[in-house]
Amino acid sequence: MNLLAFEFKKYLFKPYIIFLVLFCTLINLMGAYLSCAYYKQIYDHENFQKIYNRFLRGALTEEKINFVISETKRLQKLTADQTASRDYDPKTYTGNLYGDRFLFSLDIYPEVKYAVSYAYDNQRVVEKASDNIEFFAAKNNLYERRKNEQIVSIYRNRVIRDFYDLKGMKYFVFYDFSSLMILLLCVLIIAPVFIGEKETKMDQLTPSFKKGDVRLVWTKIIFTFTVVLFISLWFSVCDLIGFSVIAPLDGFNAPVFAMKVFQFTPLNIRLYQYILLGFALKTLGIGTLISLVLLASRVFDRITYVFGSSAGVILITYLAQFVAKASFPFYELINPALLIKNRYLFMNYTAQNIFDYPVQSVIVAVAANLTIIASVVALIILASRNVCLPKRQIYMEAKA
Amino acid sequence: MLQICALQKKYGKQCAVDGLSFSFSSGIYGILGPNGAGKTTLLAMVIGAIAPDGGQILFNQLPIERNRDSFVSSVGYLPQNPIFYKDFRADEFLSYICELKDIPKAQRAGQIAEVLAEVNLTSAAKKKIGAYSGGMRQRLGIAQALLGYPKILIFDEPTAGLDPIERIRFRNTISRLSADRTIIIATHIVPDVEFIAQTVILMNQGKIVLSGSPAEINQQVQGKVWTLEVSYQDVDRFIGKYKISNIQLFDGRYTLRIVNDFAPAEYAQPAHPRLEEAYIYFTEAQANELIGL
Repeated sequence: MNLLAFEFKKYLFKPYIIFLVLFCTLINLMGAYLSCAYYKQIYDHENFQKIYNRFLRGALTEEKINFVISETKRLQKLTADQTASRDYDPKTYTGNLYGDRFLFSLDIYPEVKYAVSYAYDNQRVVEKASDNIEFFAAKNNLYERRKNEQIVSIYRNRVIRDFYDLKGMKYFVFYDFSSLMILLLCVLIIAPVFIGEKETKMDQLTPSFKKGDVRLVWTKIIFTFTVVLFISLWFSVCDLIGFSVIAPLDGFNAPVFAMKVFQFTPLNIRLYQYILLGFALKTLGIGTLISLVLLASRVFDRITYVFGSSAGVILITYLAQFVAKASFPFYELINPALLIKNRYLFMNYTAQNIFDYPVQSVIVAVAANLTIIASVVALIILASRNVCLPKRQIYMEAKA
Repeated sequence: MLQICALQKKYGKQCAVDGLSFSFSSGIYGILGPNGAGKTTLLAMVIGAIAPDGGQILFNQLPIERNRDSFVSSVGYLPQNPIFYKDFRADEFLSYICELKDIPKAQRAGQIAEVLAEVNLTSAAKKKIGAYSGGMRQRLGIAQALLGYPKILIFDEPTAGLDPIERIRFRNTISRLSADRTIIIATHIVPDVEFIAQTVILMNQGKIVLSGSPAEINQQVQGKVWTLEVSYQDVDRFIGKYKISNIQLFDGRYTLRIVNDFAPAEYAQPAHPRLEEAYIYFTEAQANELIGL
């Protein structure tokens, strides 16, 4: 076994940690189920699925569009004077005409309309941005001109060619409970990484070993980020499998803007790519928070201080995002919680003015979080380079 | 082999190690001093756990910071009151130490078996460290220090928590290991080093107050150790006034051994000094420290 494997043995492969991972996985799946159950109550999921699978799924053909329009009109006409029967009718989709009307008018028609009219609506955004380019060029406003050029470049030629039921995908994208589980487990695993060495007094021994210098510290840093990656991956896969079964998920190959909440997203990628991107950003955000936990473990002498400071940092981070502005000023982009709930970064186009160049907020947020991680790692390495023990500790122990 | 030159360490205004210089070659060195004398700080600086504020530590004529890999490969260290990882089995723990010491993989199993046998822990190799007694943990600490056949062994209060039999076993083990090695034992328990150390270093308040062989050190207090018989009523009077190294009750009378520059009473007889009396004389330690209480 190498040093990294021993770190896994010391801090991860413990019966109570394994139990907690499994327990949190179960709680998380229950959370996913309850989240879906709540949303499914809001609309007629079962009947929507029947019509969707039979008539609508896949390429948006003229035939499908005409079917939705004609059925919606027919049902509105039949129920307009409220005299139609409310009794069960096997020829209807939902059991009676009123149910059919609500399903088409409130669910199916708006969704199909969004997909069909997206290209047109989006073109208006592009035209507006094109006008802005001329306007800001005349005003010599370089940043705004470049920003609008970027908007045109991002949004032009967008079209939704296929229709998918993306409700399940929306629940999946908006599900945050697993992030809390990941944070909780990572704090429990990482908090003792340096403190554990102090409590066992191994920190007095390791400097006398060949690999007990900065190499051991690097191993602990690598272990920390490996754990974050592993736990984040585990819960993300569980979320994906859980929602695929419970929701279910469809439209992995659809563009991100096919989801109405992402109508103005600057992303021109497929949903499966967005899931991968979201996972990477969430892991980075969690990694930033956990690097602070690791620093606390390095600095403090008692595990309670590490847990206390970790809880404080996570709480402040999470509370800070609630006062976040839609335009994301820079001080908000350094908040790791924004990467953990990264969907907010992709709902609209937002950019930061960096030397008159528009840099998308997500890039600034990633750079800021990477800088925090690099600074924390540098601090830990520096703290470990010369002095491996709190000086006072040795003296006090010798005195005791 | 190992030299410390004008080594200094301060904690605020308190000087824990005060310009200390010494050369260690092969043999057993006993660093004796009361709690807070600076022994642990000195050893922590030697193994690189803390950086000195001044002075240098040389290994084979080179500063250890420029020669670290070579130095740490030659050092085995046992810290004070080690706890280790409670979830590890002893053999797993030693395997981890082998990895930290960068001992070639092919040699590990053999060395682990060897050091476990050396400290009489072979039968407990598969036991979790959490189930070990204090003495067993101390022996495991000695075992890990022996891995890699280091030329320098440094033990900080190695007999803390050991019962008398284990203390004797420890001393015998150290004596056996001392050929061609430098062994440094820091302790405040005089008998730990009295019979095995070739050189004793007396430390007090961060300084070396005296060093030499036990016989040479004893020579320094020759004529300063007295023995006298007193009644029960007089014992308290002597305790308050002199440094007492031993009190013995025999036939209703108390025999006191007193360390003092002149005879404490007319009827006091000069006695042959022991190392613990030199220790008391030079460090002003109390008698209870000598027996490890």
